[in-house]
Amino acid sequence: MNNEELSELIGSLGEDNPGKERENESLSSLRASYTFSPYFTNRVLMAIEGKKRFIFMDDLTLRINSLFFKVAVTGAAAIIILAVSVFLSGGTISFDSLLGIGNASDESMISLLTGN
Amino acid sequence: MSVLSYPDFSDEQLVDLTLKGDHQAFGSIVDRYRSMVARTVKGMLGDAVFAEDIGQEAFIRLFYSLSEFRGEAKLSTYLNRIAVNLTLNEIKKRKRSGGLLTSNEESDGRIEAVADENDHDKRDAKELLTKALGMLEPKFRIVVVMRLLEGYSTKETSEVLQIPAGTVLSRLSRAQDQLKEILNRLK
Repeated sequence: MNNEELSELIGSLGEDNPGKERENESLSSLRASYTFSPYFTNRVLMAIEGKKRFIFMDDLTLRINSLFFKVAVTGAAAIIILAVSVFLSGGTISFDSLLGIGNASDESMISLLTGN
Repeated sequence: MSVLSYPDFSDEQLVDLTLKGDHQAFGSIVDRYRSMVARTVKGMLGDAVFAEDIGQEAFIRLFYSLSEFRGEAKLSTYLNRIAVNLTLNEIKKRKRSGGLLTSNEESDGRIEAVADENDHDKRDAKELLTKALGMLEPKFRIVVVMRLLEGYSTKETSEVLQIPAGTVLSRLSRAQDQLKEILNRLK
C-alpha cells in the first residue's frame, strides 16, 4: 500500500465496505498482524477453570465463616442464659455451678463416674 | 487441552453446550472469535503487552455472561461489545495514570519525533497507519478499527458500539479529518 492508496482508503471510510475494491495485501497483513499467541485459547480455558475454583473456594470460605459465626453466637447466647438461670436459682454464680457440679461432693462424683 | 472439537457447530449450539458445562465447546467459541477480538483490541491498543490480557478478560466475561445472552444480537457482536468496552476502560485507566498515549493532542510531540526519525518514503504504510490510528482519540479510533479491520458496516458498528448510526458516520468523518491531518504531518 503506498501513501496515495492509504489516503484513498482513509477517504473511503465513510462508505460501507471501505476500501473493498482497494483491498490489498497491506491491509490484509495489517489485519493478520493483530493476533494473539498460539496458546491463547488454552490460557482462556485455564483462566476460567482457575477462576471457577477460586470462586468455589471463596464461596466455601464464606459459608464456613457464616456457619462459625452462627455457632459462636448460639453458644454465647446459651452460656449467658445458663449463667442468668444459675444466678436466679442460686443467688450466686460460680464456675462449678455453671458446670452443674456446684452441690456435688467428691464421693457422689466418684460414684457417678464409676457407677459404684 | 484440545480445542476445535466442534468446527461445524453454530454459535447457538456452542453456547448451549457451554451452558451445559462443556468447556471444549467454549474453546471452540474462543478459537472462532480470537482473531476478531485480537483485531479489535490490538487495533485499539497496538501491540501492547497487556492487549492479550484484555482479550482474555473479554472471553472470560463472555463465559460468565453466557447465561444472560438472549441471542438478540449475534454472538460476535455481543463479544465485540465486551472487548470494546474493556479496551476503552483500559485506555481511560491508562490515560489517567499516564501510561498510554491516546489522543491526538497528547501525541503532537510524538508526531514530530516520528517525522524526524524516519524518511516517510521508506516507511511502511502499514506501520504508518498503525501509528496514525494510535494517535486518534479512542472514540474515533474505534470506529476506524471497526470499519477497516473488522469490515463492519455502519449498522454493525452502531450495534457493537451501541450508538446511533448517525453518530458513527459523524465520528468517521471526524476520524477521516484527523487521520488526514496526522498523515500530512507525518509526511
